[in-house]
Amino acid sequence: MSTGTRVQDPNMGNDTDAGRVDSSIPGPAQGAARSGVSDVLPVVVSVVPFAVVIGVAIARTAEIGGVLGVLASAGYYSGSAELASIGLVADGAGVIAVLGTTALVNARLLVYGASLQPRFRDQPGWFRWLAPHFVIDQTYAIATSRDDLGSPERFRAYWLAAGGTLGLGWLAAITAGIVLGPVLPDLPAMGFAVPAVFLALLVPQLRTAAARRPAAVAAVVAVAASWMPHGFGLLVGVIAGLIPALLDPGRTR
Amino acid sequence: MIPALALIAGVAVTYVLRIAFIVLVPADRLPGRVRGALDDVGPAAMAAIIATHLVHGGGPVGSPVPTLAGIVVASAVAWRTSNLAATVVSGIAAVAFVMAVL
Repeated sequence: MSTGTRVQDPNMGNDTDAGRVDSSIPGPAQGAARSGVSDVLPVVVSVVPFAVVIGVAIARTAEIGGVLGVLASAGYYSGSAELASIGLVADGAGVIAVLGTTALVNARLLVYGASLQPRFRDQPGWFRWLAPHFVIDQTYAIATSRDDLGSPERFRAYWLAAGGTLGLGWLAAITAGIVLGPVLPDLPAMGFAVPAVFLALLVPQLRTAAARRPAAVAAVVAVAASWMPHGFGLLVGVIAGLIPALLDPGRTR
Repeated sequence: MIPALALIAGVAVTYVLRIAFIVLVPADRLPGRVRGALDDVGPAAMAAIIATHLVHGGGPVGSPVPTLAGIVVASAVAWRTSNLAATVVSGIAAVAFVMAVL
């Protein structure tokens, strides 16, 4: 990405030209923020059907009011775990059941966090503690698909813009589901939007053998383990996809 | 009260899972082989999500046949264009078309 930006370099002393920054020209961080928004907008569209389903589930669960539902949605920022939790609450389950199920469904976030940690290492404390809230399948996928987020400032701007935009769209769609769900028409083909996003991000990576091996192993094992409850088979598939690299001494770093 | 506490517990454990290897035990303290394998997390996770969606009957689509058609069309578009929006739109269109024909 070309920014064409003049920024002040503290090592340039009294160079008067370097001391002036044209605020009308987007800086590297602004450019990264714009990339974050543009990358995530198709993702926002793709998650709307799922978010509406969650909104309808909240509206049909008497134990969860609309306000609590929206607050929980903001807190979870994770549709599959929230939907599982809503189902458990509707069935009268207690705190331990919801906590345990959520931990199983979201265990893959541990792996995403570990993979993203180098991007967070040189960030300010507030960002390291708060911004992981945006770690989810889609944000992980788009952020790791880019190779121009090397500087902490660029990654910070990109991550906040992408995560914030997706979060706002997500909450707006859930709210719409709560309010309008019962009268919305059924569009089952839209249910393909979520896997389509992952195909769009995965398929171009498969041009390299390094990506084909973990993808193939993970897909086969995830299918074989799909009988497991609460999405646990997905986690088993992901971990299986990492095993060849774990056993390869050439991949140590 | 119990539903609120249960959802708060779910939110709390989700947050802990997110920060665990970023703040609590930074991943750069993990063994070298584990860090070497982290590059494979993205392809493995995305492939597992797609495969799980297919094997679970296509989710809201309700049948694996339209989903399989969507995967084939979306994969071809993604391979040729690397364009996210074109891939999503073509995949949904393929699913809708096959559902209408079946």
